[in-house]
Amino acid sequence: MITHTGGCHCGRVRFEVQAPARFEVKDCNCSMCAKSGYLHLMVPKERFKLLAGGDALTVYEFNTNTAKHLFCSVCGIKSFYVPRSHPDGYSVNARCLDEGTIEEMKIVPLDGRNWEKSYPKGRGEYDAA
Amino acid sequence: MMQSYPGACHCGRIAFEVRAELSFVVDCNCSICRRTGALWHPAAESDLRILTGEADLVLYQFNTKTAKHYFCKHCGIHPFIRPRLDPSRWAVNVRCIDGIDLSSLKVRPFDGQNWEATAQAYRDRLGKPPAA
Repeated sequence: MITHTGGCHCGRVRFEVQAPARFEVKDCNCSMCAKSGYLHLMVPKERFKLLAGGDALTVYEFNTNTAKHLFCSVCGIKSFYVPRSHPDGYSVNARCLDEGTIEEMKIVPLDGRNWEKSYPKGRGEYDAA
Repeated sequence: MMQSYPGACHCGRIAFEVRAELSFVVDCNCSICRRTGALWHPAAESDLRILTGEADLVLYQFNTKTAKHYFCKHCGIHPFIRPRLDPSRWAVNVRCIDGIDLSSLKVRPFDGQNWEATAQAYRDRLGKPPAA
């Protein structure tokens, strides 16, 4: 497990996340992710630390209002958020990770359009670290 | 064939219509496009009509401040930009076009990380910069 850093475009939002150097990300086709091209790295909350920019974040909610979609109010980039599938953790947008620490990133599809079918238990698991 | 496509941000406040011959998308690796994950299609000034939500757009600029990056202040979605290659035109985020099957479209990589060299190659080939 290593520390990856990342953030939005303008640099206001900065975070660090503990994850392996090789990891899998989910490419979700739900109404929101399809428009934001989001690539999910789901982590329990103790593996994520917001370093700066909490006051720059705008919250957007819809449908069940479980997920807290967060984006930088200045540059509009959604670098992490609280997902419906893992409401006790975070989803980091792998697109927003800094270069230099990722050895391999495997992209796997997630059928978020049929959310209930993809998550029959009503939530998702975290990948083993 | 030129066709009219409706599109919107996620919350629906920003709605647009774009006339395009949609056979490809441009996938740029520059610092902002790699984060928005946007897939672009060029459009002439007169081929994009913003139907609603102009007041809900936030403008973001950086570096040379030539390009105009717009996003919805409520849902954060980036539906279109004025691209640096030709800011008198538009580039529309095809991810925001209703019911589009992205897998049916050819992906054209654009090396925006090396913008000057990539833009020069376009100019050399076409004699003028296209919108992308």
